[in-house]
Amino acid sequence: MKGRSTLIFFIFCILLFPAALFAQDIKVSGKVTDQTDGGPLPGVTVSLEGTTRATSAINLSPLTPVTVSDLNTITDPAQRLLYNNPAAVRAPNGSYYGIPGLGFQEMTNPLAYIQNNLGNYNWSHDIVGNAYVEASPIPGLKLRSTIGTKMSFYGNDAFTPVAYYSTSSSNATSTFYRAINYTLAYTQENTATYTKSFGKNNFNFLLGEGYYRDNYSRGVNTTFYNIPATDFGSASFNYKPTAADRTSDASDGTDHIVNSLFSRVQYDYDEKYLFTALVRRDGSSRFGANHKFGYFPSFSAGWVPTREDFIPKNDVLNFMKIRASYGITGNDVIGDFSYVPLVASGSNYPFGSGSSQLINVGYSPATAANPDLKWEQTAQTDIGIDATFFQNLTFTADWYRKKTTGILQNPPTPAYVGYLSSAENAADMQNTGIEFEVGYHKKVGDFNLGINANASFLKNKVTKLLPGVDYIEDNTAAFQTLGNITRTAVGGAYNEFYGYKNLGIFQSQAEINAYRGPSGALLQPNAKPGDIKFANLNGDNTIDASDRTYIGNPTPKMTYGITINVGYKNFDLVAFGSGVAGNQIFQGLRRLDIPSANYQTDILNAWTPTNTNTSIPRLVANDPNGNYTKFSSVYLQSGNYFRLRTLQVGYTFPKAITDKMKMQKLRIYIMSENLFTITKYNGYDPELGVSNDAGGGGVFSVDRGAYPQARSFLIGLNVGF
Amino acid sequence: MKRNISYIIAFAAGVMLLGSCKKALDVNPQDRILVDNYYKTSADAFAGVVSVYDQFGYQTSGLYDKVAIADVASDDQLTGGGSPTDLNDLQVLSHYTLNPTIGPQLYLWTRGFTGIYRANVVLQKVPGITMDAALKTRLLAETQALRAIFYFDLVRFFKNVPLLTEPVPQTDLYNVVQAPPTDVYALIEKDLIAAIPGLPATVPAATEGGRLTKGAAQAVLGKVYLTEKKYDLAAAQFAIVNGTTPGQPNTTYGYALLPNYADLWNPTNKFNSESVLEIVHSSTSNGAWSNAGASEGNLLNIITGPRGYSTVKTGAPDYYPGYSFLVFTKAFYDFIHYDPRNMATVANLDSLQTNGIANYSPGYDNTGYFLGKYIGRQSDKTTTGQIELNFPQDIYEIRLADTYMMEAEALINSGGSGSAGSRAYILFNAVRARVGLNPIDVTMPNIMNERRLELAGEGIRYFDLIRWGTAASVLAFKGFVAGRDEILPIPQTELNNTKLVQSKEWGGTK
Repeated sequence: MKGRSTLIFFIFCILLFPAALFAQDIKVSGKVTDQTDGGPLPGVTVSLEGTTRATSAINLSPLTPVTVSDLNTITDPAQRLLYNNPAAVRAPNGSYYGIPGLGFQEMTNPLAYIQNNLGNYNWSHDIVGNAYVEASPIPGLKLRSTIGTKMSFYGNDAFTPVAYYSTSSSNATSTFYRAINYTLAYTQENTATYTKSFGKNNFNFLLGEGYYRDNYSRGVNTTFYNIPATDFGSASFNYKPTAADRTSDASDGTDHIVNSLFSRVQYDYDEKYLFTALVRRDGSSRFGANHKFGYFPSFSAGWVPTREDFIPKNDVLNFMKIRASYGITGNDVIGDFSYVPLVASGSNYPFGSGSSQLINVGYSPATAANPDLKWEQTAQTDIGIDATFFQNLTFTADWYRKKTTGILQNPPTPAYVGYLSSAENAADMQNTGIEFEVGYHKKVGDFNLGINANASFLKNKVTKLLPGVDYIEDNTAAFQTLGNITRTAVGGAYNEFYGYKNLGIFQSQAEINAYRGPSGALLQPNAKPGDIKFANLNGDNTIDASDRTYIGNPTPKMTYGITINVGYKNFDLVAFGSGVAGNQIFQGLRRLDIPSANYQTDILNAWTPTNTNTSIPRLVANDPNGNYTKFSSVYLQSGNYFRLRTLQVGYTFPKAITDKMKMQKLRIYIMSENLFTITKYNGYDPELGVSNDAGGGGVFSVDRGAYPQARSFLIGLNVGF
Repeated sequence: MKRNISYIIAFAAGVMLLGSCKKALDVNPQDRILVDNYYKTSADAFAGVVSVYDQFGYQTSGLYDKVAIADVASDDQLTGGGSPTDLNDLQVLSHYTLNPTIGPQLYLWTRGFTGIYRANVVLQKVPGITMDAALKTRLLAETQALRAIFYFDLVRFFKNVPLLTEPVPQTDLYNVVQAPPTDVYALIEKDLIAAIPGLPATVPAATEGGRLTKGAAQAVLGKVYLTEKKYDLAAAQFAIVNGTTPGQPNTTYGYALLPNYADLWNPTNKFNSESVLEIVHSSTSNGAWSNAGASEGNLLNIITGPRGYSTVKTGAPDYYPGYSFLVFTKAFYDFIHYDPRNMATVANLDSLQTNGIANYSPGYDNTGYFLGKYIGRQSDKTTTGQIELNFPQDIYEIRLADTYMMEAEALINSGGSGSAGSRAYILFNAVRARVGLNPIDVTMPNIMNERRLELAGEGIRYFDLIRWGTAASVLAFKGFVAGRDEILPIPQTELNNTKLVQSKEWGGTK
């Protein structure tokens, strides 16, 4: 086939392998590689169970024994009585897992919980396939049709035995649950490209059309109660309980469709002057009839001075390119059907009694509709330079400004309107940044060295909010009794931390007595030495919600990364690390509603009359001054970290040996992921991002006990035949 | 040949899609129905009204409801629970340390205004449906009465609330202002008066129990008038509910006091003759911890149960172990100790434990005296789903003993006699006679005592204390501040970006 003007390729690859047993949950991750370049394709799903267990671990009192082998060691008779419960959880060796005393609410002994969840697992298989047809009917013209699919199958099996964890946490019936889901996404793209050159003028035209559909998903799950099993191993759906002891549910996803038309013109003169213009029209199923489509043009121009005659070839500057571009892109990340008023089920209420009682299904308008909802647009201006010096030193720098208008959000609405917030093009924002990348590659004899480093700096500013809205508070980042902890306002950064200003610690009663409002009233009448002094920003006679201000930025100012490749003879080493700097993390690991919850060891440095040089307020029951119930900088910590993500050392066997073994290649390697992290942050993991697992909803850097990333060690073989 | 085929494949794939752009973006909304296609049939109208009732029975995922709030705000009960901050919203109310950010107010506010919004949608959409006229009238009357009930709770708890009679358009989200309380009361009266003729005198309990009746709306209206100190009007409404011969069944509505007080708290006794209006619960909705508030089960049943309860001797009460909230104070126990209603009202775990009959783990602020009326029982736990969240016991919004005593209160306050032979006397003593107590004259102090005993733990006393003006003195020991704690603060988040103003009592200007 090769060598002919028509080439037909069908490439279809499916590679799946299960990996990594982790803690008590079996993690199955699928990894699919692209046959053409060997790089991973998206499609790895890793779900982390156990956030609440992680939180339990820190909040449980250290006085709760991990295990109890002799009940006589428990002196409190009321506490000892708890172990009489036949469903108290026991370790394999017969000893009891310690049962927390009163005051821990649903916090349970994490080991007891793990014991009862052994075997439960989540699984997922992703199958990704791509195929394309390419045709070249006349020279320079290329027609190409691509289809891609991603099929995900995922679910979980969980058995919960009858168990007694504490006075307020127990399972009275055993349950066996299984969920099976699948999701299909597929894309189709058709493009026509035409390449033509006249002398040094090179043209490339592209016309294309695409169709992208995702979230075509289906799921079913079922639960059996009271099956005769005591653990996951003995549980089976072949036990058939009575109909009353079976429940099931199912779900359908809502399709999300985008279709696009696009065209592009590329022109260059002798690879010295480069121009590209692109325009695309994208349509989304998430917007109403008048706003379905968005038009997104972009332009770029480049100049390569090193190809100019007036810069002679030299050994210092081998290559230089200056780039400038301006382009608009669109985003439709918002709930489906936000543009049209809908009624939804689920507002149910029972009428009647006894066996005639019926739970009636109520329907009510789901949210207010926003028929004007439209594409969020980001206009980006970028000026950059690429250069190569001395053959082996590469340098790239970029300055950019991204103006995002009509950010799609569901800002909170006042509760008095009675309906949930509606989707809005709620805000405009500007991000300005600089990015640098430096690379160095050198080969000396048997020695091979490659270093790549990059850093980017970002400044974020909100430029506009909806009319009538002075600020937006993100409810998803509310923390226990502190209420909302972030606020977004014009002129500030997105979702800045918003709380009381901490003026330090009161060192004496005299200081407290001197802290008064204009009328002479004590501002903090409940304070004692060792408590936090809060700023009275509005100058009235109380410290209350109106004294809050912006106290920290959750978005890193800088992110950076470094990759080092070293090769010596048959040995190779790869190290890759990255980090962030300049953000604050809200450290919310401790449960405020459990006064006896454990503390981290930092509390040993709390203020006492003899330990006054500290920022940690005194330890006191009920916290009358609100040291921890008024959100101030005591909750914020620097989010700076550097993490060595990958370290791999490999050895490739000499060809003489592999030839004997009839192999093309034999390489052995050892590898560690997440080997170490340099940080002052005292939570589990400073790398939070935005995730529900972290607990911050849509807000960066809110840590409510996100499950930390595991450190892993691998030994591997690469074998090629 | 091969070459031609590949052209055709590529070209066909392209053509197939090029023409289909706009239409290809249409997606089936699944369970969601366009509002424009809804509110067309009587079933749609009914489902709309059900959604209003849903808010009437709404409990928060934080495991409390209106009754729990009013209970802990009273002098007779403490929040209890597992620790000083367990169900913190209730703890701060119980100790009167709440503030605009922390407390149960956002739950109450949301319950009311979501209900009002849904009612306003029904009142806007249902009149246009072509359907049976009598059914339409009834559904609209139920909705209007429910709207009045939501406003009555809101205006009592918050005093300064917006008065919305139709859905707020999106363009006016932030332009809403509060109305004078007198305007709110005027709407409540108007809604109830308009609703009463359209409501049925009785409903078949087995299938429609829990739906609004004439008597229920009249009882609410009477209570509204009583709160407004319009005693004549109040007495007139209560008289219709209580019937011509108190103590005997109401011949129109069938209301009568249950002969045995304890039977009121048997969960199978839904919609009994004493029940005027109740919040319906069910053990079959499969409520789960992922959204406890969406359960139709009674959450009071689990939070009031003693922690770690276990029976020792046979014959011990079959309480389901719970979270030990809403415990009675020692003072209240001493007050009710020798009253015949003691056994049905108070679960005396202190005595059960001392006598070796049952065991439990004392919670925070433990007194040993639990709210027996609402503790979940092993015998009525659900057979499917999460036991804790699916208890079936209903909660009385209004029952006849309450309306008897409210009529008596209205009568003597409008100058009527409370002595033997008077209607007030007959009403009041019918309540006492039911539990075997001798008749006494109707005086305000006697009414205050009797209501405290008869209605203990039912979420009524706090409102009584406010209505009688005695809250400041009675609740002082809990930290109640006169001139502040008669109402709850407007939730802080409702002041964000809006034209709402905090009440004067809470440092605002309204």
